[in-house]
Amino acid sequence: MYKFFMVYKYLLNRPINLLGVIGVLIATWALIFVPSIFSGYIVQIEHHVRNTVSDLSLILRGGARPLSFAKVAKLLRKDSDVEDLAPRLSWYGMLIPADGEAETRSASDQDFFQLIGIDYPREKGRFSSWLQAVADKDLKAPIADPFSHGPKSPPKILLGVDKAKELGLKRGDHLVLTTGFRDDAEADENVQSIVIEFELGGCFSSEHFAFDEFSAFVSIQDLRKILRGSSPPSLDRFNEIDIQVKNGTDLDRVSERLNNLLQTQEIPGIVVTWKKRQERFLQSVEHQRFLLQLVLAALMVVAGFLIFATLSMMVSEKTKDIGILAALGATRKGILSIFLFSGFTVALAGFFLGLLGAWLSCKNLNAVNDFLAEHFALNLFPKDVYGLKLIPYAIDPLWVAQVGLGALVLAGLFSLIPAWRAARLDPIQSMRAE
Amino acid sequence: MTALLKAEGIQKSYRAGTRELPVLRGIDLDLFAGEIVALVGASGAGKSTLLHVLGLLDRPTQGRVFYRDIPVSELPPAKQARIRHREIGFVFQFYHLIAELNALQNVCLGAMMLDSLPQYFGKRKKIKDRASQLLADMGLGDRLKHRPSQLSGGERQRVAIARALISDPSVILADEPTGNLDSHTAEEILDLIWRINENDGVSFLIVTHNEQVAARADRTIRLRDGLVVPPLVPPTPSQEARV
Repeated sequence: MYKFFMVYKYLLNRPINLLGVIGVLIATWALIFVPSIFSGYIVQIEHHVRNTVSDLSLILRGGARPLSFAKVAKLLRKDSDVEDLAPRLSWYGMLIPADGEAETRSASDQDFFQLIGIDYPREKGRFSSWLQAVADKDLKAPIADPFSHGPKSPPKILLGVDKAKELGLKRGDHLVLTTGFRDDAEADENVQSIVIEFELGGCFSSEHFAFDEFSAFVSIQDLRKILRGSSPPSLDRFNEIDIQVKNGTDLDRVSERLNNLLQTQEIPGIVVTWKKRQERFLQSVEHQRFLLQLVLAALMVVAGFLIFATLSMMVSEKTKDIGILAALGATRKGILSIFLFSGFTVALAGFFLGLLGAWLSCKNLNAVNDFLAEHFALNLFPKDVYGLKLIPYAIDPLWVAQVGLGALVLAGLFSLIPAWRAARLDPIQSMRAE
Repeated sequence: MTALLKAEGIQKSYRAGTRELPVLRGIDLDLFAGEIVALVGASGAGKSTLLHVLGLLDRPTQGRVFYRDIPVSELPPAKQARIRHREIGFVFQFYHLIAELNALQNVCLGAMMLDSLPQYFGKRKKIKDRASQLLADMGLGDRLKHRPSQLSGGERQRVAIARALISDPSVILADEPTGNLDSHTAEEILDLIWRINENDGVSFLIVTHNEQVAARADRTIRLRDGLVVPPLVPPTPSQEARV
């Protein structure tokens, strides 16, 4: 009992121990608060990424000969877990508003886009729920079929709502697409350039900032026509297939099965899960979070040194007390425990205060950020950079437990040296200390 | 009659560089239950060292210490600490109270050493009552919440005596308990020691320079150069005649 009593009294009567508490508090706060924003960002991004891709995607290898969707779809449907399929034809090109100045613009003024040719009736509401919300540039009035156009009028194109705003486009405005393709059917395989006018048929918002910024949807039939070259007109060409599987299915297993199937049929493509498809991007964010955690962990080590310093001072100042306690019947183990418990108490107090601080910081993150931006022009977390409406956060309980455990382990290690020194003191010499 | 505390051939030396510095050179000593023994001698005679060895704060280089016939100097440190707590009380010249604790807490601390947290809370009120009573008996009933810095030397020494008494020891080892006090206060402390001895039967071994204390004690043991000086035997009539 005397150990806890002495820890309580020493810590209460020695404000210098607050240094250790503050050190652990700051380290805990930083270690929980900053990675929580990253975690929130990852969760949000995963959600957004998930929004823009289907469960699985079949991607044809570059340079592969055009294939028929119906033929490949028939093969894929053999797998009982496959629920639905939709062809996609992805291409790249540069888009500029057809405002009469198109000819005078340099390449750097043009935006590079991924053109995604989709079978809208098939995809609508099945693969990408947000495609249902395709609307005018304010996303107010839904449009039944944004790609329908007359035989003489230009094909329709859909842009991200923010991109359309940025380019100053509204529904019905025209854009010029510049692209090219290599006609595989031609003997000399010349690259053919294409300049074609599109009409803005509507806008979409998947919430995935990077996707909305650089993607444009067109009807797959229109894109097939544009890129047909010498291919037979009847070919239902594609270079990607969106695959929807039954709920609760293990995506990795299905993709493995489908890949085996493609291999046996010598179809030059690969089936990947939505996560695998965005693996590099997600991994890079996770890696950034890991590096940050590593750097911030150094703060905890500094806090450990503070505990070490304050406890070492305490041992020096309380040398006489150590002798008194020994005379009263304290064992070496008991004296060691006093200083170890002191370190643990400091670490625990700092950890819980830091946790509370991190939680409050996360809760009020957006309000504080807005306040700083408004009053001090200090934008700590610029939402527009990440294309987010609110700064997200996700406090991971496992990480919190790891930080707490880390604080305790470090406190234990850094307290051990002064505690050991105290326990080794000769009680008689200690009592003579001034 | 069995000695309460017994020293048998105690030797203690310290190493100073390559040299061994002997402080105690073979001390035999008995302390019986209920007696007050004064340990006197010049500075450096080894009084305090002997007290520390007897109180199990220090190990003898040679020889043994017995408590109720048990060779306690050979026990492991944890067991020695237990005996030190239960059976032996210490009173020091400079009181050695803990500055962060008030008088009552300093006394209670003496009763906390062997209890776990739940054990202590089970008997906390009893311990507090006993500590308050001890302090009240020493005339410090109105000083319970005072810290050592707020107490006079005499009051501090009374707190130290109360702390030594809280675990009901059978022997108290006092190292110059009046050495830092004025003569009036010293007299009061000595009266208190004799009263405790009389009322509770606690034995005292008092290290002192004060011949008055020695004269008042049941027995006096004199140390010189680490050895007990044999008591002076009064001359026989035949010896007197030769002179």
